[in-house]
Amino acid sequence: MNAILRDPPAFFNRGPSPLARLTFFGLLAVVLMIADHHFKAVDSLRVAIGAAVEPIQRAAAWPVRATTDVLNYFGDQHRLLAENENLKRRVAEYAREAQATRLLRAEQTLLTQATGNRYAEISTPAEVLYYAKRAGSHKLIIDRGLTQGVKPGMIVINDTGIVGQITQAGPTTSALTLATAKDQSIPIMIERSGMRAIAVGTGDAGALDLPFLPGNAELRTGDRVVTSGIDGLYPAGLIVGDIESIDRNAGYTYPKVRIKPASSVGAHRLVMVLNRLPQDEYPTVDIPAAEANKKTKGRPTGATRDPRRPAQP
Amino acid sequence: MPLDFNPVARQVSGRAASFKLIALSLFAAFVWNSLPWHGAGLVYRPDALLLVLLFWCLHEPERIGMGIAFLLGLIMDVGGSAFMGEHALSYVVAVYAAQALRVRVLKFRLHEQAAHVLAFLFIERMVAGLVGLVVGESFAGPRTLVAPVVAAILWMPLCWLLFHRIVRGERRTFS
Repeated sequence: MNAILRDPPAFFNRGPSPLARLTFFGLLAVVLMIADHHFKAVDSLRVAIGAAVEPIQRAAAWPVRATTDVLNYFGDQHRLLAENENLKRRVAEYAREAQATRLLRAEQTLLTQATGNRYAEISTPAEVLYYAKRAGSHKLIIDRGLTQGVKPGMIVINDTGIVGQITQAGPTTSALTLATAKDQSIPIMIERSGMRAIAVGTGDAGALDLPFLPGNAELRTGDRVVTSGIDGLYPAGLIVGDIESIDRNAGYTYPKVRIKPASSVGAHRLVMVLNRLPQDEYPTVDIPAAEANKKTKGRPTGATRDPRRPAQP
Repeated sequence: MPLDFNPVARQVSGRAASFKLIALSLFAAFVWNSLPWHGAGLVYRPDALLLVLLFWCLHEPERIGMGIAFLLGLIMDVGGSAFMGEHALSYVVAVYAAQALRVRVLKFRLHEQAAHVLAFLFIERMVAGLVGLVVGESFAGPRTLVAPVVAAILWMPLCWLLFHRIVRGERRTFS
């Protein structure tokens, strides 16, 4: 109606029909989705749009964060005292471990000289900005991105254990997929028995699954679950959680094992991004060659794994 | 003179919205969507960007169409760190539905229009839900249909606000 009133009759200059446009844009969207989902091919487009969008998102997130900060500032004394007490206790706990670590570190330095700098950990602290805006998605947005050296595939931990893995990186922010996200998998080891397995996210924030284990697997409720380091992506020994329940019903082929993740989803504010990717791993036996590889930043032969894929050995 | 917000009256007066108003309203809606929603707030959050987009698709069909919907969808995908094209697809489909029924919808009064808009919003949610299932995200359940209802309720205040702006803008230009 508007068109008729305002413009000369537009019988011929309407362009393609609505259905043709729908088909065109629909197909384009599907192609983009496939390119993104299966080939990770549109990352540059994402980064380009992200550069424009991120400042707006940060600005939008700011008032809420500022309000929280102000409320926390005037927060009750009791909470602060309790938190302080808690931190002090934890420092005392860590002190013992730190001393033990010193010895291990000296030992490790000797070993790393032989294996190439395999276990050197550089990490970037990051702050959680907000949750990904999509119902049912298990993603957090953190305030570090490509410019700070954060790349897709990197592992994110906090003081209690594994949080997840970076799956998308923008210029100054990146998205981290929680370990509990559906189909996210981590190679794990039961600390007590040394049994290796793969823990899989359930999509439920409070649980990981341990599927396809034999019925007589050596497991007990309360067993500590840590990363096994087998895939070369997750460093060994990071805490994943504890076994919460084991259901060995004879009706199922496999026992149903649920792990309670160590780091609770709601509580993330500060996290650590471990700056290492699988292509930095794979030590070569020949020491000079390993050195040369490090200098040229070349990828050693055999490291063909795509670092951006979630860990699925 | 009291303004007549009956859409037919506006149609007859044939006022065009300024580019600035369109851009500003879309931007404000995007900022609304970009607020740090999470948990239940995210599930019940009305998609203001889609609502404003539908408004302009109905009232400025020559300027705002599927191309803009596609671009805004991509921006939402980057902002929400979804797969590229998820929102783009659902927005384009919703806008197609709105364009197909445009003439019919505009004949109704605002609260009746809201019912039609609710249908468009449902369509968008369903496309988004299907895409989510295909790419393997966990299904958020029937709760996702609450947000469109909230958005549809906001249709009347939105129309009222934007009509007001359109008319005021005109007056300033021509008097």
